[in-house]
Amino acid sequence: MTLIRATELSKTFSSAEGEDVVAVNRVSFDVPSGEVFGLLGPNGAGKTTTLRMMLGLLRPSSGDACIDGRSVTDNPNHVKRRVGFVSTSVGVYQWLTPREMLSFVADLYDVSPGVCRERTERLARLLDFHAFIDRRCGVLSTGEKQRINLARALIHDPPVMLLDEPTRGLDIVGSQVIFDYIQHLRNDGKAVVICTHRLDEAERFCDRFGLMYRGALQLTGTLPELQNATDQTGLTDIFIQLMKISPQESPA
Amino acid sequence: MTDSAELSAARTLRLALKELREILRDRRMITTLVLMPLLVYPLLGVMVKRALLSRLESIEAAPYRVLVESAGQVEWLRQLNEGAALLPPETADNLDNNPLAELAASADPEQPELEFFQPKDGSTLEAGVRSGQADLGIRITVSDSESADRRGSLSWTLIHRTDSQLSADARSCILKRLKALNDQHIRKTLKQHEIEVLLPAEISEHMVVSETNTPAPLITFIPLVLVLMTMTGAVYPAIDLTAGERERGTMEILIAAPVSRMTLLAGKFAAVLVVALLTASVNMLSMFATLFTLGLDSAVLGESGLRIIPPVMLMMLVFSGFFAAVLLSITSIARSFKEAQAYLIPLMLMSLTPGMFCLMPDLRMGPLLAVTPLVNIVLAGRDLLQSQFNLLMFSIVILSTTFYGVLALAVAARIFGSDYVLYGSTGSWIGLLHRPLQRRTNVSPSTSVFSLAVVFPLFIVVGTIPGRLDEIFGLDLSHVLLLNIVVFLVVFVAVPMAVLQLSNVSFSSGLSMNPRVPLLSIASAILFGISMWAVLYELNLLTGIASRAETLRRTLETLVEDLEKTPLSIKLLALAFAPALCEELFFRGFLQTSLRQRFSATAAVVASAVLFGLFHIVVRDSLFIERMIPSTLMGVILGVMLERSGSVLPGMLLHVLHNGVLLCVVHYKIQLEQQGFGLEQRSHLPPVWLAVTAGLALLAGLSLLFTKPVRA
Repeated sequence: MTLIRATELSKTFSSAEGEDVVAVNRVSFDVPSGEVFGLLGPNGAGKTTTLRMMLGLLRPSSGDACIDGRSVTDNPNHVKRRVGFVSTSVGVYQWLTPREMLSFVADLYDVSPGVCRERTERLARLLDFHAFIDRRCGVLSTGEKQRINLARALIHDPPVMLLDEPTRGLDIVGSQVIFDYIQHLRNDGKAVVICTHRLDEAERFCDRFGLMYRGALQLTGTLPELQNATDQTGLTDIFIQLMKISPQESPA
Repeated sequence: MTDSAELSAARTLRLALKELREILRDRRMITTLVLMPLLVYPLLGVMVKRALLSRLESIEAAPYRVLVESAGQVEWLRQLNEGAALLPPETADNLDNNPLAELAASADPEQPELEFFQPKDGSTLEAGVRSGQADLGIRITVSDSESADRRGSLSWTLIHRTDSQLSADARSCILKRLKALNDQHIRKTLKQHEIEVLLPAEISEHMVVSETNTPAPLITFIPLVLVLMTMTGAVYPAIDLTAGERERGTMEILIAAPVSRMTLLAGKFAAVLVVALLTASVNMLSMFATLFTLGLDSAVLGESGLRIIPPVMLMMLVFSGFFAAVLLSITSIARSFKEAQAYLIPLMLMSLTPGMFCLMPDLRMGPLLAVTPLVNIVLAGRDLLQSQFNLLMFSIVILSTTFYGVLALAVAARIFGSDYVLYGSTGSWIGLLHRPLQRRTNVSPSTSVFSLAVVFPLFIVVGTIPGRLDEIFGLDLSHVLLLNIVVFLVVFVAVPMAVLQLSNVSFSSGLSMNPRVPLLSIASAILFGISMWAVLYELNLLTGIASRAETLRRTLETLVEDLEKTPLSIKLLALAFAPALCEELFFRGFLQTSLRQRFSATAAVVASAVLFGLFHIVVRDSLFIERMIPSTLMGVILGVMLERSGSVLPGMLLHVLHNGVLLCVVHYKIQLEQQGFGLEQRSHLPPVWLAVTAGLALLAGLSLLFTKPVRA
């Protein structure tokens, strides 16, 4: 079942000088339940903007994204209830404990206190944060905060997960937590989109890939499909090849 | 969607509780907001009290130092002061025996001590007093008159300093004693001769309490203090809950959740309100406790005492609500703590000005003041403390403040978590400082509003310069008027020109200086220009209050007299051409053109017209509120003229004609009075004139209605 469908998503920003900058240019892809889709590309390719449009944080200039069959433009709240969002740019509430923060977020999504308690227990076991669940978030380490954020994204049990550079700034242990988390999401039957420029990591945990460059989705497919299309073996080589044949000029 | 809407009140409460939990756990916050006032007021109070006491002590302890010429006089006066009826040897037989004892007896026991001494180095009494060696000098000489009725009289010369309160007090102390001596002597003499005297003026005093119930002087400070307290209480949480969310990266959590931004902001508003109330309460509590403990309460609060607590609590609630909403709307724009602080500091300084209104006892609350943000609540607070309670005005104040609060929150909800704040996707304030490389046709509305913020204070400050120069050099009115032209050029021309230059916008497009003017608009401008004075005059008669007109006439009497002596040509230049051209350039050409880019024609016209009206109520050092309506009306007509014609030029023509005709009418009012115009008597225009001008105005309106811009 297709849970995520992006159709010709585009976003144009106007810069301070009044010029229009096309950040995302007619991006389309589908992600079914239980699949991890990697949205790959260099910095500034438009990955994060695409994700933010799918989440309803940014309004698309044109095109639309459907989550679980509903348009994000027409039913933003319906979509928001069905999406979980992880990003290293998302912080924690310094003066709340992880338990309080999770119950606050659960309340935002209308999760009843009883269900919230039960899910908090389950997530604390999964992500192993029992030890510091009642300590205030301000004193936690980066890795501990990241675990709280992963739990926060799942507290309303969304069918769709959007992950933006989830391993940025994390050490090996932290990254391993993310890999396990993604595996958990896949097993749980969620449709997952991950934005990353770490091609090596993406190769490990993604089922299918979309290669973005200069705002446009250049190529989509599983690794064998991409290998066939470009005659390259690794994702990095595929990407370099793609940048060479890209019709636009490479950035200065 | 619907379920979340139904639950939003409960949700708002839960959101507020979460925000409060977070704010109140921050110990720095508690220190600054709660502990500081608890420490500061008692400390301040103790210091004030000590200062007061030490001043009192020093006054009580220090005797008046009195200089006299000889050692004999020193001894005599000393004994005299102590109550002994001793006479100086040289005057013993010249005086009665008794009066000196009476002199001593008449001395108020509470009067300070007197210390008599001789000049140290043989200098004069004057020199001794002048140098500060003594507070007072007394020269006692025996009257040289040989006449019988002068027998026994001494001549006392008191030498005192002009700049010393102590010297003045010493003088009045001695004077009082000598007067008592004289009075006693007269009474005794009259009695001796058995003469009944009926004084021409019998004096008695009777003190009553003022009916206007003049409050203790310090009580009027309370609204100002409350403005400061609630504002400082609201600043930190307002920043923390908006810009702070952005800075910590938690804003995305809120925006990604299926909760309306208005609900989020309502929760934040409730939290900021509670913190502001808490801070103000702690401040007030600490302040009152200090006052009562140190016994300063009657000095500060006067007779009201504890009765002022309920109105103070009510004011606290209103002020906190107002500032919570306004501060949230401003901090929502900011993307960091630093940015938010940069926005708030000017606001805080600006808020002090309306805060000062509470110190003006003669400023009466009227309908306009009752709807002026912040000024209205400050004045309502002042009136409430003085028990001058007007229910109608008070309801207007509360309603309008609620309205402003909701408006501010709606603005905040619109900005909070928008692309601009969340990801900085559309420029920033810094963009104002860079001169764009590309040539543009118009300045952005934000730039023009920014210019307005420069022009208004400039208008107030530069506008007073001709008056100041007049005070210093005594210029005649023609020169002051010519200087006013310079003011207009600096304020309304130089500023927009500089902004256009910096924004790389051409003057012709940025000021709508379009030379292609539709003919119909010129006709309309001329018709309006020659007829609007009559319409506005009648409007003024209808809306104005006769007593207020009289006050205005008296205020401006000298100005009007001087104006009558000024040549018409200079008046036309300084009061018709210059203001008309400069104001059109700024309010229509610059401001409205810029606002029109983002807003509808109606919004742009009304906004620039209201601003135009606001600038016109400030005349010399007073507010002429009645000018608001006619000026705004003119602003609307001029705005529509620009909208319809696509050029600022017809408006300039209209404005010049209007001002010029008005000046001519006033200039020739004596001649006009013979035609039946009673301008001085505020009587209506002759019916024929009324009909003609109304007809012309109608025609002008119609031709404006059919005007279409000339397309290039």
